[in-house]
Order: sequence, then C-alpha cells, then structure tokens
Amino acid sequence: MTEDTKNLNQNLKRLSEITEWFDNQEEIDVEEGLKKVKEAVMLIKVSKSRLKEVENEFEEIKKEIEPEIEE
Amino acid sequence: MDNDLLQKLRDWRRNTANLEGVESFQVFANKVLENIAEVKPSNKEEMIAIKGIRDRKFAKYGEQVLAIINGNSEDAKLLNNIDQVNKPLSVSRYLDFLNQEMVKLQARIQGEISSVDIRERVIYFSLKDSNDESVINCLIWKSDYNLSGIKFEIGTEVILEGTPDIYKPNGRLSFKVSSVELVGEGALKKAYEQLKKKFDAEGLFLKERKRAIPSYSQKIGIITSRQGAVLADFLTNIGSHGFKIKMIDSRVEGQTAVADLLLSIKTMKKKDIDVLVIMRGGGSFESLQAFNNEVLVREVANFSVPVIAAIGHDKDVPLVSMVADLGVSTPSIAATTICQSWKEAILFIERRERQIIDRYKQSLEGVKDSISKFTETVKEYSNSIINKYTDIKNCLVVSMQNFKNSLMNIRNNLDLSKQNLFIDFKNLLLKANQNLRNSENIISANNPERHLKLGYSIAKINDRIVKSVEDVSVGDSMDLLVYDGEIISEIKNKKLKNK
Repeated sequence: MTEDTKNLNQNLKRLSEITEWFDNQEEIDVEEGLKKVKEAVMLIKVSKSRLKEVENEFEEIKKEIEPEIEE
Repeated sequence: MDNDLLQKLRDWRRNTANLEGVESFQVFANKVLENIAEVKPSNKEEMIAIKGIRDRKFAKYGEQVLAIINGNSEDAKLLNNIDQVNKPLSVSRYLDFLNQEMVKLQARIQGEISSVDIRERVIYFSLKDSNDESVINCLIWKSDYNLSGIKFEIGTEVILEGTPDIYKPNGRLSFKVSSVELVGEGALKKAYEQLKKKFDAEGLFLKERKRAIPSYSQKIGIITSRQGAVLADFLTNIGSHGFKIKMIDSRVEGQTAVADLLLSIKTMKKKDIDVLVIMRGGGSFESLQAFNNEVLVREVANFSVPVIAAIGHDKDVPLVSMVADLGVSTPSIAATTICQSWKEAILFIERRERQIIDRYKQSLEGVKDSISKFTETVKEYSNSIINKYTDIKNCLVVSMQNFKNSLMNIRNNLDLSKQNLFIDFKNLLLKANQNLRNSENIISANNPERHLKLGYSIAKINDRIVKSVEDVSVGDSMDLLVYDGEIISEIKNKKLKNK
C-alpha cells in the first residue's frame, strides 16, 4: 500500500476515533474538544484533497518469459 | 540482433533445462542469450568476453552454443542449396536442420492415448487416431505434464499442441507436446468436478481463507487479454482516484492459456501491487478450461495479495473464481468493488465532518448555556450578598441611630440633672441663706450686749450667774455686768417677790 493511501486509511480511522470520542463524552471538555476539532479539520482537509479526482496511471508490462537472475 | 538465432538459443535452453530438470534461467539468463545472439561469438575467447559466461558455463554449454551459432550461419547456405553437390551434409547436421525447420510446423492434433511411459523428466506416449488407428509417438516434459493437470491414461481422448522433433540418437520422430487438453464436455466436466472436490477437501474454498479486498487500494495488477471489451469495461468503471494500474496482456482462451497466465501471475508476484484482478469475458465451459487448471488455481490461492477473479461463466464457476478472494462475474463489478472504498471515503469524511463539528457545536452551546446559568447563579449570589449588606447596613444605621438616640438621651438626662443639680444647689443655698438670716436674727435677738444696752445687767457671784434670790446671801460680793463695764457691789438685803 502506498504511503498516501496508508495515510488516508489512518486519517479516516482517526476521524472515526474522534467521532467516537465526541459520542462517548457525557460532558465535552471544551479545550480538549477544540484540540480534536482542529485535528479533525486538518485530517478532513488532507483527506479531501487526496480524494479529489486524480488521473490513473496505466502501464502495460511484459511477462518475464523467464525469471531473471544474474549470476 | 539475430532474432532467428535468439529463438534457436531459447529452444536449446528450454530443452537443456528440461533435460537437467532445472529452470531455464539457471542455464543462461535472458540477457546472456540476447548478448550471444547480438555478438555471435565464434570461439571461446569471444564467448567468455560476454558478461554472465565464465569458464564453468563455457565448459558446460560452450561447444553446444558455438555449434548453434555456426549452424545458424550455415543454415542460410543450406536453404540456398549451395555447395550440397560437392559437400553433402552429415546426418547430425541434417537432423539439426530438420529439427530447426520443424519448429515452424506447430500443430494441434487430436487422438486417443494408446501407450504411456512416465519417466523422471519426460513422459513418452503415443497418440492413436480414433478412426484409422494411425499412431504418432509423442513426448511431453514432466513440467508441462504436471502443468496440464491431466492424468494420462490409455484411452483418454486429448488434444495436443506441439511441434515435431527427431531424436538424433535413434532418428525417431516424436511430437513434442507443449500443452494438452481433454476433449469433450463430459471429460472436462468430470475433471472439473474431481478437482473441485479435491480443493474443497483441502479447504481452499473456505470463507476463512478469503482476504478482504483492501480499502483504498491504489496499485492494481491486471491480468487479462488486450482483445475484447474486458479491459475497457474495467477502466471505464474504476473511476479516477489516482490508481496505478499495471496490466499484463495474457492469453485467456483454452488450455494453452495456462502457461501464459502462470507466467503473468509469476511476473505480477514481483510487482508492487495492492490487489490483483484476473479478468476474462464470458465464455463456454470449454473455453474457460485454463481457469480450472490445478497449478493455476493454486497460484491464485497462494498469491501474495488479494485476488479478484472476474471471469464470465455459465453454470459452472471456474475454480480460479472459487478460490480467489473475491469472485465476480464482470469486469465492471471488479472495478466498482475496488473504487467503492474511495467513493465511500468521501461520504465517510463528510459524515464525520458533520458529526464532529455538530457535536462540538452542541457542546459549545451546552457550555454557553451553563455559563449563562452560572452567571445567573453568581448574579443571584452577589445580589443576595448586596442585599445582605444592605440589610446589615440598615441594621447598622438603625443601631447607630439607636446608639445616637441613647447618647442624646443620656446627654439630655445629663443636662436635666445638671439643671436639677443647679436648682437644688440654688435652693440649698437659698435655704442656707434663709437659715443663716434666721439664725442671725435669732442670734441678734438674743445678743446679751443688746440687752445690756437696753439696760439689763448680768449679776454674777464668783462667776456664777445669779438668777434667783436663793443664789445670794447678804454680804456677798456681787459683780454686775453692764453695758460698758462692771460694778462690784455688796448685798445688803434680799426679798422674795410676792406671789
């Protein structure tokens, strides 16, 4: 998995965690909440820009008739 | 580069490798073969100068390779029929020539297996014509035999693909088989069911074995045929998410596709991909035979990353689809499966964004509420404190007033007492004065001198005041006190007053 998709995966996971945190708090500590909101906004921004349409790369590769091993 | 020579070198390498039971690259690497075809060394020195060929390799294969190179240059002469009159070919050279020419005579032949002789590296068998009993000798390398997944038994009807070849030591012609397939739906079906049962027993179809198609896959490996609409279908539906797609064009039709598919999978195994998609458009059970090949199925089952098989089929699901981590029926489903997580991620982020921001907003509202509540409470408290203070102040004012009043009272009282005191004193003085005057009057009234002046006198005998006749005797000397002195007298007579 490439670095940025791994990050995307982690970002989305982290967003779930933050959402969960908010859902699990009876009383939200405003300071702590603000920290999390800031983090979430940053993650959302990064993730959204990653999810923008990006052209695919297409490459046709040749079968290796015989596996190459140098002596 | 001499492509003709390169092909001959490749054929030689394949044969040599099969004979030795090793992989082709262990004889010579691709690059080395290409260099030989390029340089065309004519002696040991020139050959050893090529990278990858050292003494050991030369000792083993040098003469054979040089012979191929020499033969190749002489073949041209042979074909031109030059010099043959004067210089006949040796048997060996002629057989070499024939074999080289017969490589071009590739064919597919159908018949019934009539004898089988399984050796260590090669299987010799014969194929009999079903109609007129004609027979051709055949051989197949053990590796190709294993690859076919078909068990050779006398009477089995098969289709062979290969080229004719003469074995030089005995001049026997054999059909050198590269691939073999069963004939007839019945036989294919039977083999399919047997293999399916075998894999099932091994647990290869178990759900627990299936790996999830990774979310946000980006590097996609595709093995499919360039021909047909499959690849286009896939690419249309995958969306634009920055996928890095690596595609290998492979044969997918019939039994002969097995080797091609295997090579493609082997190549893909070394590529950095997140998921592998093997695709083929719909086809008859017979045309999908490659996807029921045991070796291929095992390769798919053991592939390094999750595999999606998108193979169109009728009733019988190809074993590759069954063993793949995900088996779907069309390339578009395979594509949408891969890009699903990307599409969902956008929705996911939007949902999370709403949730987090809303929740925080809510909590801020809550905090605002409680702050105003606190403010209210504090206000109430402070009000009550102010009220208390006012109360206390009022009390204080009252008590001060009281105190003042009582002070005033005291002062008044004092003033009053002072007045009283003065009055009393005055009265006392007046009284005293009065008394004094009275006393004065009394005293003055009683002053003996006043009496003396008036003519009264005081008679004394021996300093005793004479008040009665009884107090005196005749002859006594009596002193008479008068106003202005004393008269000393003698008593001559005494008489009592008549009562």
